[in-house]
Amino acid sequence: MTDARGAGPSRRSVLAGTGLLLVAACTGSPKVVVPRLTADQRLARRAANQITVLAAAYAATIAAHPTTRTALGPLAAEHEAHVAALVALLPAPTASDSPSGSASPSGSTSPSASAPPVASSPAEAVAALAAAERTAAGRRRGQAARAGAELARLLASIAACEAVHAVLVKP
Amino acid sequence: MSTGTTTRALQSVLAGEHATIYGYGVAGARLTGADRRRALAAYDSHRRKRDELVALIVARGDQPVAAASSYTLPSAATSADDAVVLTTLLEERLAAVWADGVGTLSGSLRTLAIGGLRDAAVRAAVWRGGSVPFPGLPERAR
Repeated sequence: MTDARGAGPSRRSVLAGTGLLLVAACTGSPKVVVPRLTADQRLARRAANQITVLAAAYAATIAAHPTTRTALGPLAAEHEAHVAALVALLPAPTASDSPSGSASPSGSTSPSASAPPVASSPAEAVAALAAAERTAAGRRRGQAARAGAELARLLASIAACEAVHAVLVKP
Repeated sequence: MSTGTTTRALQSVLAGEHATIYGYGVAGARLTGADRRRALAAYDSHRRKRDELVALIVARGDQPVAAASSYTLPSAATSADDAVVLTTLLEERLAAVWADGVGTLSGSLRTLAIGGLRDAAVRAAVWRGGSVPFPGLPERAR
């Protein structure tokens, strides 16, 4: 991948995709083939979901405090690149051969339903992001410790990026 | 993982730390004020990491790779601005070496490598004044 930022799926499509897997798994719908995930793929999916939540916190903070866009926008884009890199490791849910088998993700949870609250003070909102980055970096380090070699390398890099963000994100 | 693979990975990061220490010696001479203090702190951190790696390799019964008398630097350092570019490149290069160690090592040694990658990435970002999405992964560099 040369430019994950441009090529990656949107946050919404990622959530829809993972939601689709969950729905299919719960209902046993014959219209969707649920790929069996390896341990590393499950780890990548969990990391992608956690980073998607972090990216949503950035988006909500920028929306609530537009003056933070210049500083936070590039960092949020890096999280999107992380999600894209991790999702690229997952098998795409494949619809059955039936023409009417195009699966709809309408049953998945709506991303907007979980828009995180943002502090009314920009300084507090940004400080909350820095704390979230520290938490994220710790989670990613733990995931890197458990993953297979190649995924571990990717997760450790993402963890390092999140640690950098925790340093750079200042009110 | 074979012990040979583990030792080679440790020797590789040790060699990376040797080269980085040498580079900071060159860059530090061009820096003043806060940048010089930052370079000195980084120099000390890298020396501590080097000593830790030497001890680990000796404890495994192997001979730690020695520092070379000089290294080819990733950029010249004829001015203070050049020196900041050099320290950034030194840390970026070292981050890549540690990242490879993450993939090769396991257990507590992998944890060491994860920390080494993070430390190099944070120092690179401070020198650079900004973030990159995948520190230590040159194949994903923009």
